[in-house]
Amino acid sequence: VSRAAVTLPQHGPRPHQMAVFIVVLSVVSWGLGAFAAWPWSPGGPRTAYVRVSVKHVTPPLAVAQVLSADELAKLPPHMRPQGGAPTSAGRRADAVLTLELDGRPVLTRTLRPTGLHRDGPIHAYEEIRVAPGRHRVTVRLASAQGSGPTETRALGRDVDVSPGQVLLFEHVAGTGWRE
Amino acid sequence: MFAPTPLPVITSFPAARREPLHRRLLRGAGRAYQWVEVALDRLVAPALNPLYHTGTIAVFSLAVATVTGIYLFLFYRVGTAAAHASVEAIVAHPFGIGALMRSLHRYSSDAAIVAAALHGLKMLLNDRFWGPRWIGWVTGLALLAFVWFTGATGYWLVWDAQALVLSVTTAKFLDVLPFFAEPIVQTFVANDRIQNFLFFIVLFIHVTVPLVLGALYWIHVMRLARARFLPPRVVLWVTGVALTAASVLRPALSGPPADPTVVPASIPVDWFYFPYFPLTALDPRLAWGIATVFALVVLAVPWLLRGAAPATARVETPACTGCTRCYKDCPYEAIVMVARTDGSRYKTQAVVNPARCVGCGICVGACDSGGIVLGDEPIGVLASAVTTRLAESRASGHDPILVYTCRLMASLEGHLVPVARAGSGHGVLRDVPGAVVMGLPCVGLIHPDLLGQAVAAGARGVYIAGCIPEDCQFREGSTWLAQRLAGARLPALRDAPGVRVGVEWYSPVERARFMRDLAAFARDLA
Repeated sequence: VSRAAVTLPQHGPRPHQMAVFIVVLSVVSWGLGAFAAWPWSPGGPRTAYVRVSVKHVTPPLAVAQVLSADELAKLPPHMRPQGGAPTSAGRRADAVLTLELDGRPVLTRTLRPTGLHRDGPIHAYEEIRVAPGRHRVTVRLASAQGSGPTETRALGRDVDVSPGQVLLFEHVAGTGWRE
Repeated sequence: MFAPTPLPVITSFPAARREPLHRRLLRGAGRAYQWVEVALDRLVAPALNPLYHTGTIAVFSLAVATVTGIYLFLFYRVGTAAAHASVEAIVAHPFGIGALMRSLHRYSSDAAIVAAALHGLKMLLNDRFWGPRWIGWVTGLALLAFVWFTGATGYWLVWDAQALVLSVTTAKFLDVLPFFAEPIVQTFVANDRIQNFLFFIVLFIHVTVPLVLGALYWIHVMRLARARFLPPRVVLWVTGVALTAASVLRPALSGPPADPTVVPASIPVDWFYFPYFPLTALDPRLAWGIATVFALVVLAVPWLLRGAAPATARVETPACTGCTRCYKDCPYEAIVMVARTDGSRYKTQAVVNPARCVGCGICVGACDSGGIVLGDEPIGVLASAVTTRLAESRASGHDPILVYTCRLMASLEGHLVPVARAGSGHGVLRDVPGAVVMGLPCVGLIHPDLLGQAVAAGARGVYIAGCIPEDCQFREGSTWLAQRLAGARLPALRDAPGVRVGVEWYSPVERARFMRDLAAFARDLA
């Protein structure tokens, strides 16, 4: 031969390979559809939840300070308290959240005010699983009143909980507990 | 007896040194993956094997998701009640158009994330993620994360039971961070707390993140010459048909409307996007720990699992004629043509950027003038080593066949024996007498003139066992070689009377098929 004899691969898909290809794609299509909506039980069978959501503004820990006229005059106008109201006293009190189920405490959390200076509201979101059936649920939010007595806000309810139900106990700042 | 000369540094037998355990484990996993590819090759032919086109299938699927998403966007309404109702209304559009669009949108998103994940797995198991390829790995991970994020926000917009689970689990996850004054999860205690504005924000993210995807994709392929955006036409069409078939036969449906007062006994979950849902019962801080460690480890893979640095290319400027063939053939845009600096009569010269060079040697095979060296050795060293080994083989009583191969060498090493004396550094196949094997980084390194030289040095014929072109370790080596030998690309095979060349493509694990083919080639030569 005057030129090199080169044998290069010639591999096109054969008819039976095209048929298998279609089968493979059918399986892939089925897999896409199946696993894009495969059922899942998020809570498991026979499960219900009690959720507690809290937003609350606890009182300042320190005694509020009332500025004198001289002190007020030194402040820029936009920083002067309206009507001679007390200035912020800094850190606010912690609160204790308690959840009782059938008279038995199942959750106790100490909640700290938000903010770098701990002078913001407190927030909490808690969730516990309960067995369906009739229960006595009591939620309490206790916070110290400066040097005064502790204030406790409580809500107790007898409830029938069905499977999959979510009972929400929500404490709204300025309003109190609501279901 | 001929005095043995050391093999050029670019050849791969015997192995320069034993690799550490983690590299051997990676290679073992890679071989397992390659067997899966081989099985599909034999079932559907390499040209149709979807595992060779995972990257472009992901891009095509995202394109389908974009087009169908525009349709859905036109009819979508925001709000806890309106969102779910509007999606249901879209599904009820006449002639099934809405249902088809919605299903295609979902399944193309699923196909995109599956294909992208498989693409990453393939790059990992085929050792294509380190060295200059680190940028592809890192941006690929970012792309995968953004595809997931875009898809997850899409699921949220439907505001069904799955969206609520997604919202609550994500909110609990984020609430661990000390950035938020108020727990995000409190937003989802009741539907009346969720403002339409939140839907606008999520919709905005869902629509705009794909723009970031476009920019990331550009970075992902910026080091690739002739980057392919779409799969071959037949694969593109059948992917489209598969998506349509899934949409028609199993239309995508929403779960029940999101209701924070109920935990449904069962909800449909897209496991391609949310495989972690069963783990959401874990403490969010533990989840953060797992996610952070996993992300850092995966990002560091190009450095944790890197191999020995390959010999890179360098241009011997005096020999360079500025022909631009190396520049055109380099699959990684590692070569640029610049103005001549040595006063030669040629106007330009090639320069290799070592930070981009992966050491494939394709540029060496493209160069007529011997102007490129790999590992500081010109191609003449390879030619003289071949000559020596063929002569040694003849002196040992064989009528040699020269075999050039690349990744297949990993499967051959246990079947090679030195013929002259131990340590002489060349291999002869135990099962095919006289077959002298030269392992190269890529068969694209073979300049066609090497074939004639081999026959002149005493080879009965030359057999080249390269990577399957759709799966070439260096993207284009097999394709360029075939085109050169067919005379369709320069440098083309010149007239070489009496030279017999056989070429075949193999997966790195197909040793048995290679042995059969080589034995048949040897019989044909006899």
